[in-house]
Parts: sequence; C-alpha cells; structure tokens
Amino acid sequence: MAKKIKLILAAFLMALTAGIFTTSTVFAEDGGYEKAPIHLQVSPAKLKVSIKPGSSYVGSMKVMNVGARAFDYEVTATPYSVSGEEYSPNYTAEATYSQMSQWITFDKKTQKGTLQPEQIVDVTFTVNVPNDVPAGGQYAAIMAQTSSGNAEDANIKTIHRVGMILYASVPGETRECAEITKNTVNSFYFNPPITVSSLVKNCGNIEQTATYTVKMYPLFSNEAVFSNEENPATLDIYPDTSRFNSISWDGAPRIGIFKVTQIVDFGGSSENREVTKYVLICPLWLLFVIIALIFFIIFWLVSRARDRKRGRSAAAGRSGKESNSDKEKEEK
Amino acid sequence: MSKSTKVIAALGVVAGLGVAALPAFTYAASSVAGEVELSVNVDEAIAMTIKGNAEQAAGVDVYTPTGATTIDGHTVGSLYDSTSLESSSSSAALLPNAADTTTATSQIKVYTNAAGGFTLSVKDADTNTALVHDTDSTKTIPAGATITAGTAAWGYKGGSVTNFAAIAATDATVYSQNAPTSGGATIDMTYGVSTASDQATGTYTDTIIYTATTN
Repeated sequence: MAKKIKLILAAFLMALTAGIFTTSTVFAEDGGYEKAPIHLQVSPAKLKVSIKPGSSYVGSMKVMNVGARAFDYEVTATPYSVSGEEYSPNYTAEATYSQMSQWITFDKKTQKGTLQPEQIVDVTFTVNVPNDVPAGGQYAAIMAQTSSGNAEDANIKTIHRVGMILYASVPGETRECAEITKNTVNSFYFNPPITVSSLVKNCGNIEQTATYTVKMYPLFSNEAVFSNEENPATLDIYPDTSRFNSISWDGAPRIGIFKVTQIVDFGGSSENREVTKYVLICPLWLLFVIIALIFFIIFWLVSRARDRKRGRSAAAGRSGKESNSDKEKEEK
Repeated sequence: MSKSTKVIAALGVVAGLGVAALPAFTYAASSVAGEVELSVNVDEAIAMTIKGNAEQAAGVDVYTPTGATTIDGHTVGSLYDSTSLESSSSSAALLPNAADTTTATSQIKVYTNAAGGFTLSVKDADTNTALVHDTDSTKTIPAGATITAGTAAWGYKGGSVTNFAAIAATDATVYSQNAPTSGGATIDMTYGVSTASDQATGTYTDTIIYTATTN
C-alpha cells in the first residue's frame, strides 16, 4: 500500500512540474501617432472655485484643436448632476445643486469661432452669483462642441462635445458629511479578475472627495502583487448621492490565495473604512477535480479498511474452523 | 494496481496538469531613469475625436431593374450590389422591409489624463428621436431597440451597450472608466436601421450628441 501511495504522489508531482516552467510574452506594438482629422480638446478637465452670493467670478477654459483639420466650435454651459449609483452624468436636469449654469455668461469674441490645427483659444466665462444662492456646492459643465467632420449627405450626423466640470462652493452653512455604506471584498472567484467594490454616500451639501486604496498580497508574503497605494483612485461624491466604485486586478493568476485590503478615505471617520479578506481564486473545473479526488481517496481508504476487516474476520473464521476440526479429530 | 487506485492516480495527474497549465506567474520590467532631470507641468485635459461611416443607413430606394417582379407596388429580387453600400453615401439604399445592423459606424476616441477617468454619453440633439424624412417630416423611422426587417426602427450599440438601444433625448452612458486613458480609449459604435414594408422612399436623418467629461 505504501508503494501505491508513493506511486500516486509521484504521478501528481510529475504532472505538476511537467508544465510549470512556461513563459508567456506580452508585448505592445508601438505605432506612430497619426492626427485625427477633427480632434477637440479642452483644459482643464475640472475646475474648483469659491463663489460668494452677489459677486462675480471670472474664469477661463482652453479650447484646443489638436487634430489635422480646422473646425467650427461653440461653447455653452449646461447643468451637471448625476443619477444612480453608477453616476450617469445628466447635463439637462436643473436641481438644487446644479443651478449654476444659469448664472454663466461668455465673452462673445471667444464663445464661437473656427479653430485651425494647433490653435488654442482661451474662452472667458463669468459666473454672476445671485444674492440668495444657498450655501454648499454648485455644479455645471462648460462644453465645447463641434459638428464639423460630418459628411454633407450623412444620415446620422454626430455632434461631439467635451466638457470641463465646474465645481463651486458657496460659503455659509456648508455641511461636510459622508459615510461608507458598503466596502466589499468577495472571498471566492472562479476566474480573474479579483474585484473590490464600495458604496459611499454624501449626506452633506458640498462634494466630498473619496480616495480608494487597494493592496493584494500572496498568502505567504508581505510584498504586494497589486497595489495602487502610490496612485490611489480618487472620485468626487456629490451632495445627496451615493457613488458605487470598483477596482479590479485584471492580471490576477487563475489560481491562488491572496490577502486583499481596501481602504476608503474621505477625510472623516466612518465604519467600514477598511476591509481585509482572504480570497481564493480557482477555476470551477479544477475545483470539481480536486473534490472528486478527495472523495475517491476517502472512498479508497474506507474500502481498504473494510477489506482489512473482512480479511481479519475471514482469517478468524478459518482459524476457528481449523481449531474446531482439530478438536473433532481429537474427540474422534 | 486496483481499479480505485488507478482512478485516484488519474485524477491526481489531471489535477497536477491543471495546476501546472495555469499561468501562476506575473512579472514586470522596470526602466532606469536618465541622468538629466527635466521638469514639465502638464495640466489636466480631456479630448475626443470621432470618425465614422454613418453615411449609410437611412436612404430608402425602390429599384426597378429589367425583369423584376412587382408585388403590391414593391420591387423584389436582388436589387443592389452589397459593395455599393459601403462606397456610396446617398445612393446607399436600404430597401423597404430590410435591415442593416453592421454598416453604419462611428469610432470615438477619448483621451484624458484626469485621475478620475471619464464618462462618454450619447443623446439625441433634440426631443424628436426619430430619423426624419428630408422633405416630409411626417415620415419617420422611430428610435427603437428591435431592428427587424419589416418594422421601422433605428438604434445604436457599442461600448458598454451590448444590444441595440433606442436613442433618447437625455444622456445615456455609453462607456466609463475610472482611470486616465493610455493611448486613448476607443469606443466603436454601430447604428442599426430597419425599414417597414411600405417605407416611403427618400433620405432620413437625425443628429446625435456624444459628450465626454471627466469623472
């Protein structure tokens, strides 16, 4: 029996080492950059300002032609809000915190025009703040759009617009309040990636910035195999909204055990700030094979034990019969 | 070797091969900095390009080639060369009772170095979401998610929208990522159009707006 156990173990180890030293090559092809015909760019992508009731704020946004052809552009202001936990942007609904677009005017000289390739225009805008604006956050999008590039006979014409998000804080009774409603790490995966998720709620009247730090360690090591600690994800959470976020390690191997930690920070204290879990990743078919192997080993051990018992009983029965027949012979 | 031992040995080999076949290693390369220090200030920005082949899709013609059979006023038979659908624009014909879900496309590329990444959304430019006939506004191909020959409808798909969806007058998210782009994020959009059996001939058009903002 010991010989057979050794044989099984040897077969397993041979199979394990047979293909273990495999290499895979990943490379990226680096092609030259070709300018797109129509390429519209704005900067900055977001702007945070402080505005006072009854005052005016003057700001600017750069609109750039980084493409190969000239195009016509126009700049407008729209409300900016979000809907749902996935934070789908809404550029039309005017709500409590998205009234600012109504207060924005543009310098007529730069609001519309034609941009030649590599040309940059500084579009100036003014936010005329009413006297009775509520304290807290106000949000708008300043959009640069172009419809150039459509063929004259196109049936489905496209306008493309790129926006700068304008965040304004109005002093007064501002309430900064956020809570981490969920901070989740699942314990088991059949396939990569390993994903952590969270839900953060803003219960105040001004936006909060949440920072998400994720670290993943192998079971027997303190060296992280995945970490965004040097460059954590940061997202803004708007008043009266909850924001869902997930971070994945797409390069996770297909089998392994990892210690996964996610820390969500927003400058305040909250329950669920940090979660740490051990995560097992194993393909489903391999799991079935391992479970089947365990069951067969158990079955084999049980049947071996039964065989031994039967063998002992049979031996005892034979020796009992022999002694009886010996006794009978003696009596005779 | 007993039968059960053979089974266990076989399972052990399979399990071992399965573990061995899985890539369990990751490796990274690092680069070495040069000796000259250069400092440059790069502002946050967001940019978008669109290129496409959206010229197709909604010109409806009735051909009358020699020898064709006419049934109920419609011309049937092999009426157009499929290659002309790609190369021609206004003469690209969708027949009545037809559908095309592959030819009209837009490729959108968004670039941003903003830490939060970006969201791309799409909506109709006005409240009328139908493709409208160029001379008779009562004739339309309404927005719809089911693109089937015989029913007039048009829709879009691409990015995170995996099945055709009807365009709406409010913004709908097409793609989102919570990290800066690397070489730009490319989103391929496809427009599907289908015509009714009695679809009026002519050119149908609509305008849609793609918007990209940082998260």
